[in-house]
Amino acid sequence: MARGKIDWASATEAALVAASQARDQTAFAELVRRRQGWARALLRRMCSNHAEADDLAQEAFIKAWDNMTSLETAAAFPGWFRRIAVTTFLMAKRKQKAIFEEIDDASPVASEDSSPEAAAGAKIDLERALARLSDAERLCVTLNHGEGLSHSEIVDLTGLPLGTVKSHVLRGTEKLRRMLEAA
Amino acid sequence: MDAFETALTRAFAEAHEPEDAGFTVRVSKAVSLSERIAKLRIATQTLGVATAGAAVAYGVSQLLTGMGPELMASLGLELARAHGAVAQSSFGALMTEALIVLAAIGGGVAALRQARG
Repeated sequence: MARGKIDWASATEAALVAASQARDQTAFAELVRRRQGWARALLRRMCSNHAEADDLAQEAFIKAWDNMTSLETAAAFPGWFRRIAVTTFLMAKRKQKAIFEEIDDASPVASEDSSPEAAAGAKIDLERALARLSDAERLCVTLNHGEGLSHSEIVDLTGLPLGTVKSHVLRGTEKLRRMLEAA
Repeated sequence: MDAFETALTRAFAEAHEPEDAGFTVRVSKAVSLSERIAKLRIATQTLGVATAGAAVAYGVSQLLTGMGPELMASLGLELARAHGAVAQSSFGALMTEALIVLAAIGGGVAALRQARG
């Protein structure tokens, strides 16, 4: 059967990954279509800027296409792609001189009366609450609570020290608790 | 994990994912462009290597055409000189020196064996 006639829409992800590794652009497009929601949501939470997140997601997918042969098994695709997305995000932020290693103890933990929304009794949704965390806290909280990664997995993925990751997760979670419980 | 953290994890899981809204098409176009650029780069590199190879081959052929006969003549002359030098040397004198060396080695070995025995 000619490759162009394959109905990729009904193919398994493993088949799409295998075909993408064989440089089939149609299969890769289907893989992007299936995974774009997750990838963009992940990057939007980490960036808190939709346009920038979508640009980074596009960059991550192109990197994935360029490096498909380095993916060992199709089942590893989500974790492999997540690593590419996080690395792309970190590289972009480091170009913007963002610092992830430092823990800003001076930054106040948000309180229920620290936001106009809370003061007005308005509902604060998750995305807006995340936007009020620091870049590092947002990254670590998203990976921990959103992606279900352990602290050591976040260390492996980001290269940040374990203590720093724990601190960012703890402080970020506390800030979210205060913001969301006040809403 | 306390109740809030459980709720937070659930909020992440239930948060909506963005609609495609042309994203896949943009990525596909970017991938297609990237592939075309890669193919063009490979073609350019291949053409460059082939051109360089042809230039080197042409240069070598021109060198051999121009200097080849002189080189061959010089080589022949050197071979003739070497052959003449070997032919004119005294084989007897060489044999004498070789025999002296062999006798010295033989004497040394015999003396060593006697000293050990």
